[in-house]
Amino acid sequence: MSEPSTIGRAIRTAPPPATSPRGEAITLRGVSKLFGPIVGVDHVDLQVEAGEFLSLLGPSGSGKTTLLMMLAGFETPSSGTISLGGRDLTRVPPNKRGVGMVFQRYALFPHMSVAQNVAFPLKMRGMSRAESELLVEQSLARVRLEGYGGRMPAQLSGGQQQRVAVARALVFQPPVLLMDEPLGALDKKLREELQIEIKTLHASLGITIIYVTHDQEEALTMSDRIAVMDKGRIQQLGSPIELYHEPETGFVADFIGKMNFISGTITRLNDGRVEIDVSGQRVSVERSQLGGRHEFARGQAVRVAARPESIALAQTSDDAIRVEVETSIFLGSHRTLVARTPDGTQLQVQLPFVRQTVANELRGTAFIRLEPGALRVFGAEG
Amino acid sequence: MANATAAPDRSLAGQLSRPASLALALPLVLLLGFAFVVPVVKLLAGSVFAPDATAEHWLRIVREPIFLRILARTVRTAAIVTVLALLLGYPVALVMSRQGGRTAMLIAACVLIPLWTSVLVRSYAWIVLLQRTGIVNSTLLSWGVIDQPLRLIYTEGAVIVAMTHVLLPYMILPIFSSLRSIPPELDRAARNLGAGPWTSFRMVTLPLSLPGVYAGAIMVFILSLGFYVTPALVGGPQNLTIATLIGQQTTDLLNWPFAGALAGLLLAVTLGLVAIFRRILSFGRAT
Repeated sequence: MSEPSTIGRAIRTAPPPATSPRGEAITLRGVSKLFGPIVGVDHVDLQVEAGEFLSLLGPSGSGKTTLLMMLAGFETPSSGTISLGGRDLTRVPPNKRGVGMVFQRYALFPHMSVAQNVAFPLKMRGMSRAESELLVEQSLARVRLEGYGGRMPAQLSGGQQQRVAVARALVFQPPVLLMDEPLGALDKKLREELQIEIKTLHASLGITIIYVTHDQEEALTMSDRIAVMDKGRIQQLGSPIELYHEPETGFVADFIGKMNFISGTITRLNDGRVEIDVSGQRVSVERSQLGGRHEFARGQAVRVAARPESIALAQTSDDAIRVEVETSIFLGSHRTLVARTPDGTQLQVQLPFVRQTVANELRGTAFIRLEPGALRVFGAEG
Repeated sequence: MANATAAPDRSLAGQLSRPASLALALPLVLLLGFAFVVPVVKLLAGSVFAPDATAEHWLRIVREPIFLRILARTVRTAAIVTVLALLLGYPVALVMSRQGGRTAMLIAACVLIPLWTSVLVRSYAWIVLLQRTGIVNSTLLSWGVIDQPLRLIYTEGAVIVAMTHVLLPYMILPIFSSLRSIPPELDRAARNLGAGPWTSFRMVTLPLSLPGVYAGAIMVFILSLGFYVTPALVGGPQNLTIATLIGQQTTDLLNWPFAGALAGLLLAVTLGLVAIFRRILSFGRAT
């Protein structure tokens, strides 16, 4: 991304907006996929808006890739329907779907030049060489690879290969682009560069992107909305901010960002608020902070989830959680304390960096306090 | 592809010093020297020094048209066997590479078990099938398709069928291994970009499997040119190939100098055809 201006130039030379692709909405209704007795995808309902950047985020085996394969047409749903812009796609073969796809390991045809690779979808659509030449050049320019058409894929770096794959997937102006962990094979720096490039492309083309990843940071950076998947189901669907601050299940809370789980007991319940004794600190939280699926009762054991940045050091021991500090890590903009509660739970506490802070010398026993408004409360097992 | 870029050589050979690796190759070099190079050189030398220098045996090949006719027939048979093995073997390799687990294992077993069985046994099996009172004839007779037993054995057709069967694994295995090394997402990418199953095969899978096709075809072709056992058993006297002819000269007629000349001719033709083959292939790959 050393020359962001090249992207701007490429867009200016691109064809007028009338021919540029426009996103279309995708609707999944009750989509399931069984592999013998194994449930890959379990009754997924999902509405993706036209032009949206939606990530499917989850650990491996969560069903996110299977879902994408059904969108691309490489797997057929065992039940349910998939439609694109009002057109039913459920039984349409992959080559008739007209959706673009970018694969994790580039999937460039090694026996064809870069230009031949990019021209492939145009050739499949019966376009002559002369017609496709200009489109191929424009598509390569869009990913900052002007003049690379004559090279073979093996002569390009991983990042360049993936950019060719993006150019190839976009050249036929599909309304939807599916991306299957497209940056998974690249190193961190390149990944971050390409994340920004893909975001920029998305903004300028207005197409719908469905992006599969297991990297929550990547999902948070890039998406309009994220569908967090686990065990074949969408656990939560929401904006990055919603998922980060209001996770509905313990799984989502744990999967997105850094999260501490501290055990507590409910001491009082009334209409609006719940009081919890969290290993010594009494906190009062709103009912809306309780994780969705559980009924709570007085005396019930709960798990209180607190982000490292919503925990602070306390000056006094009363109404605070006693911890043993294990290490203190300097991270430039802030400092992370690794501490352990009396029941053995390890916590990470993020302290704002202050010169000469006491935390520099902090060892042994300390007291911390949770910020009640930022907590989420989950049942003991969910 | 990407993983073909030079990785640091961590293999055993990379860690050995040069003299040490030469020493490892020595037993094989000695064995090949004594068991292959020396006899071949002696045989070839015998065709021109018997005991004085003479071109008589080589001239005989040219003078009597029967020998060149046998050579031409051998080359033609080898070419037919290669094409048949390719047509029969490619689909098997394709199915094998697309299947997972048990099915692939079953097909692999069907391909490999014949390979582990002696060529002699498999050739005799064809005699059992094709002879006058063999299984094929008796079945056709009992179905009433024919009145008289067909003459199946000791024909060129029998040689071709049996040789194709015997050599089929040498075609299937290289094709299978090159098909297996094609990443499955390439076919998916082609399908996604608008290619139907057949177009995807024609434009992606087939071109990428050609190295395996070339390897299999060269192997089957070379093996067919010098094949002895099967033509000798199912071919009979009218269907001499160059290899059975050489066998006749050495064992029945004890004409070693002439056998040497024929062997030299076979060797030269084989090397020549392989060179032409490679030339064509490297040309095909460059474009």
